[in-house]
Amino acid sequence: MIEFRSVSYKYPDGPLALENVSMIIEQGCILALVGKNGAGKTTLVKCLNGLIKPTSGQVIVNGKNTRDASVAELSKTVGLVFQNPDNQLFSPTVRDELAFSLKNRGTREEDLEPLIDETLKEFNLVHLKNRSPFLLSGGERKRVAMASLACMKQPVLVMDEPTQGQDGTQKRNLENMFRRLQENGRTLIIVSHDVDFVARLANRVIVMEKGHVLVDGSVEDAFQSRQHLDVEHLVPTQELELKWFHGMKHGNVQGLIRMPRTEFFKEIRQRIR
Amino acid sequence: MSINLLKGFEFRKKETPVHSLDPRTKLAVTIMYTIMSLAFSRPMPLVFFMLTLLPYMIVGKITRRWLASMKGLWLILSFILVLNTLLTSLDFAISMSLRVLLLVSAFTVFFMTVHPDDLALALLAMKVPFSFTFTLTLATRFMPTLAREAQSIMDAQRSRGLELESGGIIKRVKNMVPIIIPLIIQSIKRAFSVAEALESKAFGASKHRTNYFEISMRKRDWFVLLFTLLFVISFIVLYHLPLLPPVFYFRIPY
Ligand SMILES: Nc1ncnc2c1ncn2[C@@H]1O[C@H](COP(=O)(O)OP(=O)(O)OP(=O)(O)O)[C@@H](O)[C@H]1O
Ligand SMILES: [Mg+2]
Repeated sequence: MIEFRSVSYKYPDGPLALENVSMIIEQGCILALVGKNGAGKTTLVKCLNGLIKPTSGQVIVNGKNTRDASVAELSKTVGLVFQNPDNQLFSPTVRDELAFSLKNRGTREEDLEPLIDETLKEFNLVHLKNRSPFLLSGGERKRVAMASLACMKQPVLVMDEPTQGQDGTQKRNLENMFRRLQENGRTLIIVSHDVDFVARLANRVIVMEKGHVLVDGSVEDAFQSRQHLDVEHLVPTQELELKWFHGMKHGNVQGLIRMPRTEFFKEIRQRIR
Repeated sequence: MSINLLKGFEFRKKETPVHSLDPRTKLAVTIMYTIMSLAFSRPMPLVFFMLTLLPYMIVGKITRRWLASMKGLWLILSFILVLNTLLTSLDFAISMSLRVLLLVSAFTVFFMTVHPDDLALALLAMKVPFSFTFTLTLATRFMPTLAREAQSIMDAQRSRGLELESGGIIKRVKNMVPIIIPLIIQSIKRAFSVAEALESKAFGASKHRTNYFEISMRKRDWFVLLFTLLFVISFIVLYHLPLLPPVFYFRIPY
């Protein structure tokens, strides 16, 4: 469990990026962090494993104040995948990239290969196992970066923009995989600008603006109407607009927002007939 | 640690008499300080010249940033200090550290108060070919970017459980691999994309480039230039005559 107690953070030569943020993140949920560019999402996420120590207030991870623990220690609980995969890839092969993380964690040699293979399979990367990460496409590199953290099996996995550069198939795959991870009891925190992805996946949405929490609630709360999205500076997708439209007509907005696309369209087709 | 040092080359816009000097003046002053730091290998003259940089930094309002960037130098300085003390003498070791300090400070002051574009204009005015000045501007422009990138890479690897602060020398050097490789790769990638961007903006298509801004030497530029030149020459002459107070000839007896 993670707790933010009136956390503020100011960059040494920059703006106040977090302002009095308080929240509790329960174990086993999928939390989505949304908000416009520069809202403070990445800053908040960096507090989780102690890369950023709050200027004031505390971040408590598993009962431990991040101020009193090293990043390496916290990284055993919280895995943080950065926005830009190029910031971390350096190994000659995709396999070695995962092995590096696992060795940092102190995984025994004989456990290495099964863990690597399992993770590669989850991220649809098996066919790239022995390729150089530098010669992969942008979307593939992003997945390698995610896999190289997810393989460590931290109880909390944080991803900055996981769907960035992913095609439709991969996005659906990620969605299913994140659900599986959640079913295994892991907590997921996802920073995303992808409204549909968040709407289908998240249990809880936190909308950030100018360093503070603007909205904190369920997907239905956060995405219930155009007015809400306007305030949140998010742009609704056509899918969401259709759901609002049909939901209003039949008094069932709440029920539709989360519905998977295929199911939703099936329902529309039935209604039209 | 070395990231602080790179930040020392970052220009910030400020309205101070030092910032508004002509870039050529500042370049000349920096070159004079470079010569002085190389011309003297005794501690006191070097300390003296270090002190004369202070008013320049105070007027230019960069003292604090200069101090911060000097923190990035301690590793190199302690290396020079230890090695030279062991191999030669303490006097020489201290002089060499001071020399490096003065050299780096002079350039830090220059880059902190001269906008890269002004540097390019200054060099162009001195008939340096454009492709050369442009390369130099680009290089200075990307220094802070490189520093920031190194920071992000370190953050990303630490999130994967890489411990940078622990272990012996060999482990620490080995730990640099996951930092250096992404840094190099990103730099190469950026070099290519900058080159492509330049070509798509018709770089080098025309022989005659025009400049939007012009630089000009004003009265105070000549004043600063002449003053520094006189000061430096008279110091050298007086030092070698030798007519300076005895403290300038002080030697550390070890
Ligand atoms: N290293 C830094 N130094 C100074 N200021 C910074 C630094 N990193 C971020 N900021 C500033 O802090 C604020 C919050 O930035 P942050 O990166 O957390 O935004 P974000 O919500 O992740 O945005 P995006 O959607 O673009 O990723 C911004 O105003 C940004 O300019
Ligand atoms: Mg961000």
